[in-house]
Amino acid sequence: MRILIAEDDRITRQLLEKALVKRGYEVVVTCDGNEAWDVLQCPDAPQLAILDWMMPDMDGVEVCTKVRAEKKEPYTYLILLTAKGNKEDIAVGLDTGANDYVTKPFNLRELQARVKVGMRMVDLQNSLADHVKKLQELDRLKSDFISIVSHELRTPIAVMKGGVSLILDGVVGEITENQRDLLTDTMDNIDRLTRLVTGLLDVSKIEAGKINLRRRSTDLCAMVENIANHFDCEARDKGIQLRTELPDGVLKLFVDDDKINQIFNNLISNAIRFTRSGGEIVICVEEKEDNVECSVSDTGVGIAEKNIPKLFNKFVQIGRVDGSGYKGTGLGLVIVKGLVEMHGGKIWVESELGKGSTFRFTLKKVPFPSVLVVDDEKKIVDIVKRFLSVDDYLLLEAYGGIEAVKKAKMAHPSLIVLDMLLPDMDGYEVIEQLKRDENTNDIPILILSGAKVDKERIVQLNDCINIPILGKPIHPEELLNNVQEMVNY
Amino acid sequence: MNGSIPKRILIIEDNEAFLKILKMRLESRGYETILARDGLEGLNAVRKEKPDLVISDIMLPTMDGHKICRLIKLDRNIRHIPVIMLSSRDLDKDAEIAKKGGADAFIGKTIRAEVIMDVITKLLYKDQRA
Repeated sequence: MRILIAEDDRITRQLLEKALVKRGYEVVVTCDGNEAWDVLQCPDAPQLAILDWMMPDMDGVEVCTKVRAEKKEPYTYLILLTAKGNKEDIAVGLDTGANDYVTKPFNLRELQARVKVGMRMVDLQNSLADHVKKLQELDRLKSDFISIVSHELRTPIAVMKGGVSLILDGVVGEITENQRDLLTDTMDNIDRLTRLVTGLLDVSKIEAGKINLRRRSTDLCAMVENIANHFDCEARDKGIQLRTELPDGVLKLFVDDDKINQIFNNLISNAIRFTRSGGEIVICVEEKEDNVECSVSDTGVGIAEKNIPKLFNKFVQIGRVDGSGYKGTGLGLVIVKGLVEMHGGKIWVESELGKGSTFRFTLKKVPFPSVLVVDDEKKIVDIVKRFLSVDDYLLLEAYGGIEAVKKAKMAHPSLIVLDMLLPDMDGYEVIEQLKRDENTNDIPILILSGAKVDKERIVQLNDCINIPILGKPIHPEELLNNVQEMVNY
Repeated sequence: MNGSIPKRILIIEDNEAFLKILKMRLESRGYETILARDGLEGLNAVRKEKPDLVISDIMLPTMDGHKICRLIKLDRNIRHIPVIMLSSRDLDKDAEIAKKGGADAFIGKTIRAEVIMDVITKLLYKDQRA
């Protein structure tokens, strides 16, 4: 166990060193804050430091501040040594990141006891860090495992599916009715296996937080109408009436349309499966103040009350049997719940055995992102605006650096598309000003410049390592991809 | 096809069984097939044979499908040939890389044969409509 001492007074220093060596600690001695900070930056630095408050050049509190700001790992336990008995001063010391303090003149027994407490804390921190590292590693292995396994499963599935469908399609010759019957069953099961693998991968991605929503402006009414049309045939074949109750006109939301589609598809196909001929399915969308409530109701078999809480658990297939022998994956509702929650919503079920079920979920309304387009050429601003389509983004414009900074402060846009050559203040200065102001330093910036951009300088400007740079002429797709990526919530 | 010269499709795929299935499916539709079993062989075949369309797997020996696609799309002489990427991996991620690499379509391997055939027809005959 090693301890760092930073103390400018020789006598106190020797006293401390002696007392700690006696207790079996290995001691590194320094005479001021600068020296102490140098030692602490070494890879194998002591994890406990006793710092005198008052020292020339860099004092103990400054060392504490530096350690907390710049040295995250491994953990360093800091004890301030102070002649100040004032409670206010002590509070200041603890606020800067010290763990403990000892007032001078100190009692050696007390100091040794406090060092012991500190060592216990260091041990705990180290084992915590070890555990976190192990967990992260395990999590990575799990994700890798699932993605490798699902790939390894998909290849043979693809071969089976391709082969069976060649035979079924008569490509390799005529087949008998019995053969067709058996092969159709085989095909159904291959499809089920495919759904299972895809579902597993989806669930693992949701659990790992690896799904990024790609939100875009979407008309929910049109989308639901589309999905309903898609299922209409299937429902009618089963003798079920499918209808929608939607608000009039257009209901624009900023959501990931693929994911919302997946949610509705899942709930509607479930409803069709568990509803008998003569039944009805209603898909309803209703706009509320800060969210949109959607529901899929059926007049099907319903779910027993005791089973409702289990519904959203993995691999649970409540005894809702539809008679067709079709088996789901037991993952659909888990995925649906994950996707709803990613959209800041909730999902729940109202159901009565024999009467039917209603699956209801909300989607949080999030503001459409605003993009500030900065360029001194009106033509370019117009092109960018056209590419970004007014429907999906709230577009602001600025034709000079000063105006850009002003508008950024006022409107706090989700993204700034910045030209570097501006008449009044160049792009570098705009970035510098934006980064200096805490109201604007979190706004992502996308550089769009016809001239060569000094990357070094941009990286140097505080906190700007990740500014993507696009050239002119503008490639619409590249621009759109970058913008979509950067404004993601 | 209409009795004219059959369109030639190059398949780059290292899984022998899947290669066979794809070949049979395509030939049953009247296409002529050229086969390659690894990335480099595939790229050479594109340059030499100038097929009407390329279908490529992503994970391949010697050179992966994404790279083949990028090299095709960078080459003035062959960049007009439509490329379909077939994958069995994590579909979202591959789809994105394929799109960035200039692939004309991206399809999961477990998708229905009809869908694949539709995409092929669309890509082969889009120029004639335009």
